[in-house]
Amino acid sequence: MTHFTRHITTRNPVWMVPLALPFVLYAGQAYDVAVLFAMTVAVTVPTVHGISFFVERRFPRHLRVISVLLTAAVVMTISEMVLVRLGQVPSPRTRYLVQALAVAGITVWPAFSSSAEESFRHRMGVAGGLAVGFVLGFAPLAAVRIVLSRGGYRYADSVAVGFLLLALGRMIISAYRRYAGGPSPKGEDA
Amino acid sequence: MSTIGLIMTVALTQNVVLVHYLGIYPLSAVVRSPRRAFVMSLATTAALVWVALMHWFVYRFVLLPLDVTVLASISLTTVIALSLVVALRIGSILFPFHRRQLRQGAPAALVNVTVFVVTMALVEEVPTLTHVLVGALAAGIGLMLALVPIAAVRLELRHRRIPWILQGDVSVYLAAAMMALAIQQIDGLLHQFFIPLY
Repeated sequence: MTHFTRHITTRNPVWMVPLALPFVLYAGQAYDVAVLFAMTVAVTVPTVHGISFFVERRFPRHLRVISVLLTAAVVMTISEMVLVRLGQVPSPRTRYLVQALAVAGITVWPAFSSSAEESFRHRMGVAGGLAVGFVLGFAPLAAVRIVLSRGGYRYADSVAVGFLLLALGRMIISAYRRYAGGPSPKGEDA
Repeated sequence: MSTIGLIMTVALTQNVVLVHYLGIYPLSAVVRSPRRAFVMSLATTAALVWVALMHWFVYRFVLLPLDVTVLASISLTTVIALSLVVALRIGSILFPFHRRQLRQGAPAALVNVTVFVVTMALVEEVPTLTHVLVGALAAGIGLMLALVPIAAVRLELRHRRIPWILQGDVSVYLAAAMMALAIQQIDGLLHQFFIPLY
């Protein structure tokens, strides 16, 4: 299994390694916000690492985190300006969360977990896998919440229902893994 | 908004975890034990107050006068990144035998959505520095109010015989959902008295 496919399946950032919980729980409330976040993550996460990989090499090892965070902040600011130019003026909370992608786990994790000898192919495999894994993992969760919300269930937008749906999803995954002979959910904690 | 109103809003009605979910990203690792949740909440509260203080000065004395508030997220991220480097450097001098824990804990406490969004909202929406700092402190208390009970529930569940399907992250999510449901009821009661900050 390649790094790209691993981050879509066994290390999915929505269902398996929750690196994007704030965005998953907030953005799955309405179609427009869900599409906005899915597109933003899909575009910005690989872009940040595509640029940052080369910038990092010019910094001493202990200062590399600065280059990753600054590259991410510049990319998010440009994304926000593009959205405004396209006539998409988000609410303050949506805007704060789009900007917060610069420091979110899904964006910074590939850099934090990287080694000094990491290749560009490896970094892009991890970043691309996280981006695709986010979109594929987020879509069913957002769809269920939006359907519940449209169906008149007034608490569908709440954090509690988001967590309940995530728990339900993890139970289904655990049951499937047990059926397929994979590791137990207890082992994931270790 | 009064100081009491701000504290109630940020700590309860807009609780960073249970209402807005702006939690720190290694949630399962942070809530492994109540002690760890408490220490991480304290570290994040300190990070919140420090970053809010620094960003307030940059925002009020550089970005607003030059009319470049569009660069707010870049300046805030710079503050967070420099704070992380300084915290790691000072921490490794003060606690030379805990470098590994520092390298794991400092990024989790400083580089997270809670610190970013709360600071951004407070600096943009709240007029005075005192209120910004009080708001940051209240958000940290809100984080603690959410994380420590979730960690306690998780610890209790680890010592009980529960079905295999509820073990692991599922128990964390269910504990968080129960807490969020409880705070949603309190939020409903308080909402008519305190206007949401964002």
